Amino acid sequence: MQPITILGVGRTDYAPKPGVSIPEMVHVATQAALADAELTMQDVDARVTASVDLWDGLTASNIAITEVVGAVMQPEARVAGDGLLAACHGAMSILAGAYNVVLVVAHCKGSMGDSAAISNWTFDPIYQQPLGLDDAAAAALQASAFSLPPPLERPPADGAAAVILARASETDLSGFRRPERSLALNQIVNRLNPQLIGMGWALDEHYLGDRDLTDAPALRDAARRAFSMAKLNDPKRELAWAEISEHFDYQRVLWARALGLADFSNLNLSGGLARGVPPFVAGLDRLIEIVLRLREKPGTALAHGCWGPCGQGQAVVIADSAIVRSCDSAIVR
Amino acid sequence: MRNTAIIGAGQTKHVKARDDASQAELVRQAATRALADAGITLRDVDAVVLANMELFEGRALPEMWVGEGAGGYLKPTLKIATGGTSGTSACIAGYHQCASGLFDIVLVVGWEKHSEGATQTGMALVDPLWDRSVASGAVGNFALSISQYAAERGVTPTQAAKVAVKARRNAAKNPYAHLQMPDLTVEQVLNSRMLADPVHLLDMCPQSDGACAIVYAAQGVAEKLCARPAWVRAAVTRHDQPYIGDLDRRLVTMRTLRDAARAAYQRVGITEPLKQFDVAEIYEPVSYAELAWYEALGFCAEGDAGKLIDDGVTEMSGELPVNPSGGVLSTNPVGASGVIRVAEAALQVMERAGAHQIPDVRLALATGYGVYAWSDVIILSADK
Amino acid sequence: MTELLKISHTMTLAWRYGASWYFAEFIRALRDEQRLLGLRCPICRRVYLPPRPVCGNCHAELREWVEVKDSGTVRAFTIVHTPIIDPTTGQPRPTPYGMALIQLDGADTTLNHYLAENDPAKLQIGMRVQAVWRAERKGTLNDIAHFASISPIAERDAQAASSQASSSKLQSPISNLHSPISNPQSLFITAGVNLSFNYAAGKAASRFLIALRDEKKIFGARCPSCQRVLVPARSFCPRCFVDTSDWVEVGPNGTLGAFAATDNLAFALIRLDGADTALVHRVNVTNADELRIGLRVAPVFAETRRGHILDLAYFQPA
Ligand SMILES: [Zn+2]
Ligand SMILES: [Zn+2]
Repeated sequence: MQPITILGVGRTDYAPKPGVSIPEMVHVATQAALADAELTMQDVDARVTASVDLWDGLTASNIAITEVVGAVMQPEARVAGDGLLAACHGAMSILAGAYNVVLVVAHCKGSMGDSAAISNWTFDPIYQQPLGLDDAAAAALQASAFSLPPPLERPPADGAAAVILARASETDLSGFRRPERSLALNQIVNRLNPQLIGMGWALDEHYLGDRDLTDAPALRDAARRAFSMAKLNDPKRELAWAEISEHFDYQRVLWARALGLADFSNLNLSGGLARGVPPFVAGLDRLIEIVLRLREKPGTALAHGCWGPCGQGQAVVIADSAIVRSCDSAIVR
Repeated sequence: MRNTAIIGAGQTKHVKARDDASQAELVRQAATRALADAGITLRDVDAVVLANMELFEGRALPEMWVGEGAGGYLKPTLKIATGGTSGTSACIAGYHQCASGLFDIVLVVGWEKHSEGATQTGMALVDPLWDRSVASGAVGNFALSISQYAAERGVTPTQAAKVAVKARRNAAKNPYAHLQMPDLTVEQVLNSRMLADPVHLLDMCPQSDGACAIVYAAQGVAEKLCARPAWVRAAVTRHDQPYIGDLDRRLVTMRTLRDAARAAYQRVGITEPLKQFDVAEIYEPVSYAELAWYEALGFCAEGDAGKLIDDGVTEMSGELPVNPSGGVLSTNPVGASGVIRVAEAALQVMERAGAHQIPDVRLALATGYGVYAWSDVIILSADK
Repeated sequence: MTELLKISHTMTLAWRYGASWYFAEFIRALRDEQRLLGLRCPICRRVYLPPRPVCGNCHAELREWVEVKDSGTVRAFTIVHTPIIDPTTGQPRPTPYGMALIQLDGADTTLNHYLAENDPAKLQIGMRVQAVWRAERKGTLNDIAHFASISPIAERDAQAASSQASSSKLQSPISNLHSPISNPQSLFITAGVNLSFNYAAGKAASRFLIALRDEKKIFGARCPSCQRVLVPARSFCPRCFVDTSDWVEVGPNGTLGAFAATDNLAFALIRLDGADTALVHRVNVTNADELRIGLRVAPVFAETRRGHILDLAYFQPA
């Protein structure tokens, strides 16, 4: 695949923010990403947002953030799920040639409501929801399959994260309507921004009793797609580090194994999700972590996001600190 | 951008309540029909895109449960939700996924089961700081914008009623359409219960249970699977300020639809839409909206929409048939409604529309509408 | 024909919605001073109501508060005849009632609000209206009961009176309040819903639940492709995407595969005898320490059964 440059990243802090509105939270993350990319909102062609209505207590939850993500008279699509999935979709639309610069934003206020009561509405209403299952109970079931005690829940957190993706090939910049934007992007690509070189996502089965909870076939599938796209044959040796979404402690080993990264030492050097990262923001936040590290140290890294009961939805992104030479469009790796 | 075409479509019979099928089963019925129409099996599908307005059924991440009905297990599956435009936005998302070169075949399924939610459920969770204090509901909000549009453009209740009658007459030729009122008259529309001036009950769309699916294939695959694929020539999205009072001239100007159409027409080289399009499937939740869209889409000059319906230009036999399927006015499972527009436009190009087929369709228009002001425009063609 | 079941759920959820500095200030001025505030865009100079952090047209941050009058001009109106549940009361609002998009004097957006008048013959676009405030203000738009039409003469008199009044009473200056995002002083409001949903079980799940209800039997359905007996029975195999074929009675006893003891109940995955997948259900043990993988369990059915997954009340050690 054509690589995609990750031009900028931004995020809020993650903590309960009872008095802060979702638009303001999203605005802070979006402005931080634009500043990081040295772009303005006018440079953004399209947006992909990630949020879940019932967590926001709002029908069509992207309505509230239309203005702060710059979607007035502009394209926007909302992915109902984790922000890393939104990043995958944003990258797809760039690969399709639809847009050159895409803003990806995820938000959630985990402290807004009762997360157990809300997540009960994810389970099918006929066989599972009536039992009173929620995400924490499902995680406890999964932990017990490893003979582990019920996992501790992370502290609830509110926040937003934003990532700006752009077409990497310079030749495509000539087509920009505004010459100053072409200039701005050229300057940015000279700054050695990491590139998105692989991605994959997949869904597992829904009924918990159908699944082997000690395995994560959807994650294995998502990883297989991402690795093959990034042309990684031996991820454990070729990856410099990985940031995974362990929403519960036991998931660290499970996800690492499914990714082929069992006993991988450079896993979650950031500290992972233990400090509390909002759901649906977590995966995009993992991507921000590897981007920030790739700017400092060359290498190839992996970001992982998951959502739904026992990680039913899975997404994997591979990023690389490829060096883009300004003199031509060749990508030197 | 890799050339991409729709090679199959399928939908359920849309009704008031599908008590015989769960949401997952409803989705599976549409998906199965689309796959059969495309002459493929689920194994051939590389990725799945879903569309649904989750709070109408009170769900969080409904794709977790319902995604299996679209064959989402161990496939790249995601759900797009943007209010009323969810269906068309999902169609655009699926198009991008196929055009990206990463997937050769993409399945898009939209669904809604209004019967499973309490009335106005989805509407209950509007902005609590502002909108919840002043309850107007969808009909009231439409009516405000319509009263202004009608006053400014001189559109009459009779002309709007003619749109409502046209939709239901067309729907009678479509076995999947929800409302079946072949003999509806303008008088009956005008005498139906007043919901909010000037909108009568029969001016409004119904609430339906239903699902609709389309299959995309990339160039090289599409021609092998389909004798006459419906190639995507343009797909444009425009959103707008969300508060209902921000743009007090929504129906009058409808700047998102105007701008999305302008951009899409430019890409395809359309200068005279009324002449160049062979059919249009546009998202009209209320009769008056169709008239406003005629103007925004450039089918006529501002103020001439009423004349277009009076002269029968948009009838099945007219110069540009609009909504031969019966439109949203006859069938409205919200998350599916946008997919239905695109599917029906594609069926026309593929020449598989059945009794409501328009002869010799080479260029078709589909639109999506939501959040009282957001628009999607998609152009399909028999030519790449 | 099979009896078709529906499964009901009631959603009782509440959220704390953050107001942020802009709504906090708007609400304060509305409640404490009976004043309406808008935010002016530094680029296009539009005055926005409701307040918001950014002008969507210019991508500019909004900081400048502007007082907007409680009088304005009707830009659009309707008479609503269809009853709608008023979210503030939970009751249907009596019909007919007038609604309008009102451009308040000093604002560049319109406000959708109620009208005192509900006779369309007495309404027209361009007419002047004035807010009728409730005696007690709570800091919501509902503090304005509705807008009533005003004649030009009455308006002129009212303006004269209000300019006298405002000169005689000292008002607090409009504060240019822009608190940092972490400001703990910021306001939030709590709002909830109580909504009912009725989900169609579909033919296969209805048949499964009816067998629980009428025969106390547990059925699985076989996938003709992967040959798994799926429990509970369903219409299609999620892995193979094919219709299930024959139905197989399974259990009633089974083996615990995983369990999760929460505060008052325990969930478990139970592989019923003859099944290839596990049933997710509840287990009841006197002592949570009894729970272990491999434990043999037996079902206990509810006394009154209604065609529901909890007709099978729980499992207990066999
Ligand atoms: Zn402005
Ligand atoms: Zn199977």
